[in-house]
Amino acid sequence: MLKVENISCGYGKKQVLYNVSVTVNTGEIALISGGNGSGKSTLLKCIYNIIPTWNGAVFLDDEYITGCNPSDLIRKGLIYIPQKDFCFENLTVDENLRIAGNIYKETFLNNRIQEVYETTGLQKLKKNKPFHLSGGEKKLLAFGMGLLHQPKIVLFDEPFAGVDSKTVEYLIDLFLIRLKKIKCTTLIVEHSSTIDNFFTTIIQLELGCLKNIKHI
Amino acid sequence: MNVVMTQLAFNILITFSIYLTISVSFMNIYCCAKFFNFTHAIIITISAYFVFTFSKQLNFPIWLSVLLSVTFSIILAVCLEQFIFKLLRKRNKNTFELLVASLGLYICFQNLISLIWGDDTKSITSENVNIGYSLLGAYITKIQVIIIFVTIALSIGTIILINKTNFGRKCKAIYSNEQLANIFGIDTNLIIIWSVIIGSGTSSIVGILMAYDIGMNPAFGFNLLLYSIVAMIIGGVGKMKGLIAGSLLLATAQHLGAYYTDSKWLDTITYIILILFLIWKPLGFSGIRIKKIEL
Amino acid sequence: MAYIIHVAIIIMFYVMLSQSLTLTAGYSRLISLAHAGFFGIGAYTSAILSVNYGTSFLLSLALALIISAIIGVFVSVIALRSVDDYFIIITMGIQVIAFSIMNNWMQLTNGPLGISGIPSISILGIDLSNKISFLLLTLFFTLIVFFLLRNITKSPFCKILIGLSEDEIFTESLGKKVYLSKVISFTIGGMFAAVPGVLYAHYLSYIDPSSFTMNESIFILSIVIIGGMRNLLGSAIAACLLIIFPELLKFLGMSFDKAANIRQIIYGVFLVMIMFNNNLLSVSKNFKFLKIIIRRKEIRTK
Repeated sequence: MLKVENISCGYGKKQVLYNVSVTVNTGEIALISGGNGSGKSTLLKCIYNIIPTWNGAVFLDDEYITGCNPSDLIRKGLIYIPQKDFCFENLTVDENLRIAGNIYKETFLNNRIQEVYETTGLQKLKKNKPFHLSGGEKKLLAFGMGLLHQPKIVLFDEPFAGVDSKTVEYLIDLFLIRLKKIKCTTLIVEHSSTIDNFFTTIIQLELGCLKNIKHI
Repeated sequence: MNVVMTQLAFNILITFSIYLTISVSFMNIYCCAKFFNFTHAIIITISAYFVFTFSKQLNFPIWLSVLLSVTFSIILAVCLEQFIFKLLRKRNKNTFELLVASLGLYICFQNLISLIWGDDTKSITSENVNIGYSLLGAYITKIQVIIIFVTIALSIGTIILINKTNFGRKCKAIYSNEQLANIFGIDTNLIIIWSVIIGSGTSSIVGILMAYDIGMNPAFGFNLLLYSIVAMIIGGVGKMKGLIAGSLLLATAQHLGAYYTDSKWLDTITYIILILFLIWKPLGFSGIRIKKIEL
Repeated sequence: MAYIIHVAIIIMFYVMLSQSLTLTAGYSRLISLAHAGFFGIGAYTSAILSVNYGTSFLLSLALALIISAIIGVFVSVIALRSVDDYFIIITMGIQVIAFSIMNNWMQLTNGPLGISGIPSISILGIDLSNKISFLLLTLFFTLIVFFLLRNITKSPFCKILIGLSEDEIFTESLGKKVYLSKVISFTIGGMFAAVPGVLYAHYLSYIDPSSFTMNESIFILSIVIIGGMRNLLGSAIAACLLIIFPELLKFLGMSFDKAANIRQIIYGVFLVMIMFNNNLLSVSKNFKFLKIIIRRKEIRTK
């Protein structure tokens, strides 16, 4: 269970989130929606401590995780997949996955990477750099890098931005349905309405404030 | 003519290996820390002066002097990183401000060296100038042979470190996308410190060796660093192979230029080559655009 | 007394040098370490012309401006072929080349021996050889340079420079000629740096390459940075500070060489300190702070 209590934060001097409190229960698939500038991505970044919170707290299964460093967050089962710049352009696919799993021991990591290859089918591209990959394949890589950790909570930041609808379906089949089956808590920031019938919870933000939470 | 060519070849080899080592260590730190760190020049210079103090003034044996000197140089480099650059980075200073700070620090330390040891050119050894061994008709001294082997070993070592190890991968990851690297738990600070340790260890050894060969003065580290940066720019930043090409080209051009004209024009030749390169091939050997702002 | 006049003249030279660099490095963010080179171009042009051809001061000043303008265009065209971080390295290279020419081209510049016997200035028949008249002459030029630069910085041209230093692509998309503006700002900076060069040559009546080194360029850049990058008055104040402060040390009885080193250490420290806190020496920021305090007091008394 992920609980966010009275989070306020921003970039530099500009405040973006104003006292947002949200609770997402285990297994829920939550959509975070709102207009541009409403603070959706900022909320995810705050939870993952990419941006420091100005005040407020984040709890994971009642454990205080605000300001925790990323390697600890990963070990606790949390992972963030960014919207853009989601892979390392100067490293091969294999190296990308190794970096993603750099906190693990090598033998353990090898197994996990093998599983990712089996799921995504990126084995044949493992010596290529992202430059040679198509947009969809890059997304596969990004998801692979995140789900390598077999997380309990995944924070997706606009995972389907710039992806055509067919690939979106493919990605949903491959990942989101899998995550749903293993009862992984998922928070997704998204604009598109292609996956509306997929969510259990809809969190609406407006101008940095929580407008509405709807449980389906 | 053959003897002259051989001598030139030796000289080029020595210079090439020195530039390669310095530029490899400098580029490693640059890729991790993302700014031109002129305090690197201090490490080169001060390590030579440390050896001078330990061996000549305190009469320690050579091996101990070198060991102590390298250790102190590394400690100095890490302290500068931890106590100045890390703090500046925390305040979200952009790369320009870090560069200026490193320049200010360089000025402080260079003048400290002048104050303590004087501006004159010193040498570490008290041996008379020896002509050296004769090899294939040309001459090469013992220290120059050591320079070639040690520096090439250091360069190869660093290149292997960056391309084949986990640490090197993390350096590349930080260079490519620091935020993403942080997301996956890579601690930028730790990686920077390790690259500083390796880089300053390498360059302090080079500084000591160079001082043995041609002596030292307070500014020699800076001059050496500038030449290595020129080699790096010519070779194209970000690619190790480019550094090899750039160092080789620069060393060759410098020695040929000095042979055909006069050694006092060395600096001019170096920078004219840089300028020509930037006019003709603005992206360096590798052709990769130095990433600044991408649309 | 003569000593104080000497220090004042030197300060004014550096005020002109740093203010000219403020336009290039401060407003356009073209961080140049070649400025001592332009200083030297002004000095050597005037020296060579007046010693070898007996040209008058005004004529050699005009020629120095023209030559530095040509070289400024040439240098900026070359240096602008590179990206951000590398621009400074190119200008370093230009500085080294300029120094090398001054130091090694014996036929032209007499190399490390320098040029001596530079005549004192006489304008329109009035002899200006004594210190006080030189002081006034330098003050005159300092004020002209300052006012010209101030007008430039308040002009629309400068707005283009600020725009392109923040976001080049955006400024270009607005139809402003980015490249041309950069070249112009660099060249103007170089031209204004040649002015104190000419004066310097006639003041000391002897110049040699050691006054126009990389260290000198770094010093001038430091003054601009410490003065607050885009702040003409700030540069002037910083110049005063960085020259007077170490001079005081001479009164502590330090030997000459040591004083030179300590002076450099001081300004190195200043440089690092200013990176931690940008507004240490900013006149306008301090001014605004004072204004706020005064206003608050007024509101309270009302």
